[in-house]
Amino acid sequence: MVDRNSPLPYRSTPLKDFEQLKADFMRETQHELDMQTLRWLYFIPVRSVMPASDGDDQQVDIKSDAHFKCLWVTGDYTTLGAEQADVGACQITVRVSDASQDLKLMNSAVPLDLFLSPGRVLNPAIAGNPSNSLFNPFPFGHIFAANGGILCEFQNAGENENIANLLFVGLKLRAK
Amino acid sequence: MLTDAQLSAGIARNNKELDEALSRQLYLIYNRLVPDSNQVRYIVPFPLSCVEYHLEYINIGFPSNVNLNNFFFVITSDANGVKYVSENLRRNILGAKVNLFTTPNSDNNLAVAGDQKQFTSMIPLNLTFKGTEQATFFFRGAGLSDLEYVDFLLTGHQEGRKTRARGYHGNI
Repeated sequence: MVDRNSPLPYRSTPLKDFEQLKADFMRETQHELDMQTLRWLYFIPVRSVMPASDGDDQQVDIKSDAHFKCLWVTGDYTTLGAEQADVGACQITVRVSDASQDLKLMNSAVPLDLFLSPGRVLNPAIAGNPSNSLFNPFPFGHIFAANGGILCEFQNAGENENIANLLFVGLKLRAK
Repeated sequence: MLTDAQLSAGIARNNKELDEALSRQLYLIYNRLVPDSNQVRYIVPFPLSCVEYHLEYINIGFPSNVNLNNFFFVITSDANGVKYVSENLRRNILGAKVNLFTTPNSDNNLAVAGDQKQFTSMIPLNLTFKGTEQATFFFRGAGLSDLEYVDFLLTGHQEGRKTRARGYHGNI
């Protein structure tokens, strides 16, 4: 038998045990593949195109087959101001709710630049400073139940249309 | 392939995880404050419906138009006194170059060189407050009164929230 506690299992493993090792590996891999029918990686994007000085609500429904265990959120936003000038400063806020029972996850609308870090992207059609294309995930641990949804209420204070993207990253947990 | 029993057990485990999650809820608290006399004090209104609020991170942001160095930051609670103290923080350690100038320069361009890196660090806190407690965040330092505002974003979970019940979700 293979000594699984040995720090050097391969060096001390007789050749005949490699078949057993390979079989174990194949079985464990198959088990992991099977388990992915129960829990699998999942991304939920939410996109909002907001007119100048206006809001926009976007809701993504969680299907009945699985819960969504959100772990992280990342995203980006444009920073256009009057006359399509790229003012560089965030003008968008968002409030995220668990729509299954209108459960607010934030006490008020939060500026995107406070948790999307840095998050700013440049509108390719408009000349300006380079965008900050580094997107760090922000911890956002919450389970959205099957049949529920993620509600994002965006508000744009800019004097131009702005775009925001949020990406919720997590696991789907199969439910019945 | 998973057997029916394994499948059922896995689904039961997932549902159990949901059940446990229903008593804890992600809750972010945000506020924008205007400093007064080189200090900012913010009393956090934790939701009374939860048994505990577990505070995990704080993000801090303010305009970068002042050279703010060497300030300190204290969190106290009404029941247990001081819970967290940081001294001699520099704004770049906090990563608090979040917000750019709010007054445009002559080119109507707020992104002045060196101030574009809108990177916000999260400061891990890992503090727990009772649901009936209030926490006070207190900033003090030279130059603070020149700031237009300070943004706070607290990330944490409400624990033992009684108003969330699994039955509410219907067919799961």
